[in-house]
Amino acid sequence: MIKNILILLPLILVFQSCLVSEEVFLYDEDSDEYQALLELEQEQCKASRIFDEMEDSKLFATYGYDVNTCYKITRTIGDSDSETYIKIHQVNDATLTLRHKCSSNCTVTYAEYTVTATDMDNMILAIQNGVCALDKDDRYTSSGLTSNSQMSFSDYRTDKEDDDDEDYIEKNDTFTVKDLADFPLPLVAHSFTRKVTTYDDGEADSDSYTYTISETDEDDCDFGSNTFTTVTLNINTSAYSSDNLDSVPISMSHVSTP
Amino acid sequence: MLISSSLSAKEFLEFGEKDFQSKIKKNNWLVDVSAQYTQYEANFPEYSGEHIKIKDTDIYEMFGVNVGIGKELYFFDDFALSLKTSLFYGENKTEEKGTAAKDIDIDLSEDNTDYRMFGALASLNLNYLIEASWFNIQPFVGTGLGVGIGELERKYTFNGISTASPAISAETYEASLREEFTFINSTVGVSFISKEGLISSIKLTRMDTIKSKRTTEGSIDGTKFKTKEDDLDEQVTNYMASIGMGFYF
Repeated sequence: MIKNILILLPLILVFQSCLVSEEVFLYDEDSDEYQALLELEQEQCKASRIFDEMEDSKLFATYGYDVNTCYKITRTIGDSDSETYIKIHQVNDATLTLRHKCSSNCTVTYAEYTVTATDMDNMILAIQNGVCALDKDDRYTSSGLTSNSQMSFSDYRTDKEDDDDEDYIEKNDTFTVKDLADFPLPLVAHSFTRKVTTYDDGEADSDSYTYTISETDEDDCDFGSNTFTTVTLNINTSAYSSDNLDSVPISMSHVSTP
Repeated sequence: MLISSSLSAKEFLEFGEKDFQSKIKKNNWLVDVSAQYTQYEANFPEYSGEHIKIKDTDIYEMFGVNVGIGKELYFFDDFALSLKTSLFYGENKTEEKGTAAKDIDIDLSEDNTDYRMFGALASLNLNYLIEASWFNIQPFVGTGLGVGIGELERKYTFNGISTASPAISAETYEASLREEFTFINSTVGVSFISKEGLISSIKLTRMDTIKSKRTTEGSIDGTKFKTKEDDLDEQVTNYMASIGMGFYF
């Protein structure tokens, strides 16, 4: 039977050659067009679906954010957890005001901050400047560019000066934009992980900090009649072009981060 | 029922007869299937783009199958004529995706081809049988007359590089050809015939082709075109190589 199967060999040869698919690279680093292609890649990156969605969410009320929506932020350092609460205090298409009750690791317990469309533009730009950097140099990574709701972006930085340096710090940050329909973009300032590794004579010692945010019952955000202090949402659009260890794109003035 | 299905399984794909050698010259019928490689000459509209160059006349490769049935007639000693009718089909489909660069994942171009030809052929071969101890060798020469249709399509798009200075424009090329042809072929080959009547063969064929009709249509960078040539008398020479298997019955 085996030799007779050979009769089918011609058919097998034909089916094998039915469709050939291949990928070719049109240019390389030495091509004149290479820089233009990097810029095109950046342009396309900035036009990604997730950034369009962030743009849409600038019309806070129209996009669907509701007053009194309450969020729980859990901060985890090693085995220790602490919780703080944040709620949407006021919302219209131009501004979004958030109130934050933060009784641990904050310089202000009752904090309030307002986000405008300009802040949103700067936040989007700050993210794009890392995620869509022309020369990412393997420092920045991201996922979810084609998503219409969530993404994450990370960066790595170190103050190591050369290969022989044994005393240095490495810092890895990952910010997570949760489902935009439910979590306004500014809340990304409360949704990140940070790992700091300190090398002393080559010996590593790591600390991890995790901030996670989740929607919770309105009753958890009953802040009473306390007075809220205005704090600021710090947006550094050039954070990703800086080698400074403490350079972060989005942070809160009243929340201390390592 | 068990016996019958075990027999069927045993006979599955079992061609040939144990005592075939004794009746090898008994003017047997034969069936064969072969895989064939064809070089087909055709004329696409000429085009020169950023990442593509299409010549006016070029050779297009196709891979296909040929199925034939015929009868062998021994007329003098080890000489035989075989008359055969065949149907053939050849195709070549490729998809090439052009990515900007190894580290720049932008889809910049696509170049898809779909070539196919099909037709029918009546052929006459002159065979000479050499009986060896393990198997038989049968060199042959032949000629044939056939008709066929060739359909060739090519679709290329390049998105351009808007960030280049000056900007590199987008390009599109879409063309399809349909050609009707007749041909006379000349074949040389050799068959190896087992004692059970199984045939393996290889052959080379020259196809002197006369194209009689051609329709060309498509668009180049947005400009549409369509030409129809009904009284075409274009002569081209195509070549074919094939490898096949078959059996006598």
